[in-house]
Amino acid sequence: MSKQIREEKETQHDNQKDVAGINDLPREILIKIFSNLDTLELVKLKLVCKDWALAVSDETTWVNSFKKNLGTGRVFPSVSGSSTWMVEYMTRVKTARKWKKAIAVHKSFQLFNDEYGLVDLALVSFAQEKLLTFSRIHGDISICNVLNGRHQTFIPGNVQFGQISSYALNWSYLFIGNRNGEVFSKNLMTSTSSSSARTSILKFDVEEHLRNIEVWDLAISPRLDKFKQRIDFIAAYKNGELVCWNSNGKRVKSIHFDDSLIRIKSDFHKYIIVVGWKKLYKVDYATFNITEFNHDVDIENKERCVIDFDYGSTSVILSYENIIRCFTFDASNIERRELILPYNVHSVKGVVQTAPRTRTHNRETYLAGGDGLLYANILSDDSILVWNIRDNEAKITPQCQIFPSFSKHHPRIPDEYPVITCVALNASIVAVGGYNGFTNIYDAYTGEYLREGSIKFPKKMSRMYEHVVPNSKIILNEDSLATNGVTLCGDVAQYFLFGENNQESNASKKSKLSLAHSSSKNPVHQSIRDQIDDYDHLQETENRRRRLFEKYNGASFDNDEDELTTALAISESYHQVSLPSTQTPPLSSNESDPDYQLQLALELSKSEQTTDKDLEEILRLSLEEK
Amino acid sequence: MPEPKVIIISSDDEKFPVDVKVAEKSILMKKMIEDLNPDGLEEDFEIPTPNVRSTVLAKVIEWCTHHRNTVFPDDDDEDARKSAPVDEWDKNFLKVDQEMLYEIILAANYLNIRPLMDSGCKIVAEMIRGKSPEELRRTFNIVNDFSPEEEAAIRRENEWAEDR
Repeated sequence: MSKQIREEKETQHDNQKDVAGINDLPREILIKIFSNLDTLELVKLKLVCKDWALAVSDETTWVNSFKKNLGTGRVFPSVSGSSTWMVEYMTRVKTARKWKKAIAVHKSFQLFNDEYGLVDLALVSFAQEKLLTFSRIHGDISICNVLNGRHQTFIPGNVQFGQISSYALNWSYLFIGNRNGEVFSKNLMTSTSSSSARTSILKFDVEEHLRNIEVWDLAISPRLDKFKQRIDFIAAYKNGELVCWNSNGKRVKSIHFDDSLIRIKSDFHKYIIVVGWKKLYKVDYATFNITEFNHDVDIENKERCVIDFDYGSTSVILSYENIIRCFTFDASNIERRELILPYNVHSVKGVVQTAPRTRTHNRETYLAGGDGLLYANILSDDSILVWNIRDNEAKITPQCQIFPSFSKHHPRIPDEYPVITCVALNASIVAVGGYNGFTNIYDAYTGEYLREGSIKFPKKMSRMYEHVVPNSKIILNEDSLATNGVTLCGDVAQYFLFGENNQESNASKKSKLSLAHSSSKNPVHQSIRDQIDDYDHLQETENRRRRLFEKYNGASFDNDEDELTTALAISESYHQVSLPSTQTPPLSSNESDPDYQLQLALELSKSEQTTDKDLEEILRLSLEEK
Repeated sequence: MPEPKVIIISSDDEKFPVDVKVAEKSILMKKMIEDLNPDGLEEDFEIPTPNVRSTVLAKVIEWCTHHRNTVFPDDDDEDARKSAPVDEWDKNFLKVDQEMLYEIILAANYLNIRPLMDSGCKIVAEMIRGKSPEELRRTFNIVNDFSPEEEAAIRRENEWAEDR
């Protein structure tokens, strides 16, 4: 073929610079080309040749790219859950853009049963669209649809609970410990009203010597064992007793420590982690073997001590006063990292990143980004320190520090109040709450301000502006691809969503489902709605026609100007009908000149010989005015 | 007086006189013109492009001339740019052999002509889409440089990591 010959000639002509094939393109261009493809295609490209495999998933290339463009460290939480770097990169960029730019959808609703807005614990299931709030004072629980606040149910607390000193809950059980050492569980499925409450409450079997010993912390398994073999409830007592029950309320094990038990955490699979005044205990969930370590933090006030646990890397994060310490266990060792804050700054609260359970309870280092997990400390200097629990550094290395400043409409915060009321973070962003629903969203890696996510109170809730009310909770969707969540402030909750149908697969499934099962009753609704629409439309056209009719009949005019233009229009149309085309004046050239038009109108009306005195009068008057 | 021209010189010393407006489609040339002629162009201005040969340069200039009045959305929203289909004219314009296509992409990259670069990349991506690894090797004349073990390892990793 002639083309080939030509090419060959050219190749000989300047051999050196010639591009022979796609693989002679620089890698960044190759990446640019690939970035037009779907993530599924990318995985396939790795099989073509080494160059392509590197372009798609070379760790060094991509770590640099992540660092440069997104500000992440070597280790970071995965958004895509993929081991292919390019997939992770593109998914992350897409999600970040949604957080930053996508159109926000808000839905605010009142939680009727939380009149005082005292929410101590909130659970949200975005998959089941449920929101559960718990208030410790009376042990009240209310449940509703998280998207719109419908179907609110209220489960009042019980007198039996006494003075609640600790609590834990999952979707089906509330677990309560009180000052007198009593422990109760309450089945939320069977107790919907106070009258049936008696049967749903279970008082746990507690030894005599624990009577009147305060329960300091509780843990409940997220999913109870229906065979009632395993431990599902754990309580920690002030005197150092750790008691474990199965879901029947039968005591399975008691362990005594020579320490007060401040906090317990468990994944109900491998470990029970116990924090005491002086020590840290790791209790094997199956064998109850105890390993202990000194944590070397002089805890004096347990309320100021924040403890969290990363089950995936078996790390305990302990924040107290100006010390943030992270202990990571492996089989027999414990590794210690810390960050000492300036002496006048202390850690107020700590938050583990929101992530799917598979990410928080496992760590799979083969994932792009090494499957990191973020942690945020709210500091007393009104800032938020974000760092990575799993970054394998020798010290706790801050990823970023955010000093939030809310929009100018934010109510003035009284001096003694902290600026930050609550924080939630996921693999992409940090949401920071202030007062009266104000919420800002920041990039989790650079700390850059992205947008406002504040509650928009509808008119009927404008009372919210009358007082300074702290936000109580921000809850983000566990799904790292999702860009939605819930903000609670006082007795108002807001569901927010950035961009449409973030969980496309989920949503499409759901819509199919709902289509299928609503087909029976929807047509009726639809036809009623259609008829209402039709009627409205008819009414509207009718009204408009009547208005026009009156206008052109001279019956009613909105104002003088209107009347004038109408007169002009009428006379013009008369003229055009009676004397077609031949006498049409050169309107187009002078159309913009109002004086000319007026004169024209005058002439026209004269020529029509209809002695409409009023009209002439008006026209003349308006000419004189000019 | 005729308007001064920008004279683009290819690697093989061919000269292409073009209007400023055409040359300014290249951000690189635009910057150059602005930086070196702060008061506007008063006489012809030569810009050498030592790594673009004349056949490729001619194509690139043809593109710039066609799009001299096209206003490209100047936003950083890569998503919008990515999802936009390739302009029909560009599609026909880029119906060239692979080698030329790559050279145009390289030239567009060097001269910083983003819309041309985007179109080129999309066309190549279109060639990749929906093909099996073997087909891709054939299309792009790529030698499989994996050992059977390596290939099997990648396949395993793909299955393991992505099917969850």
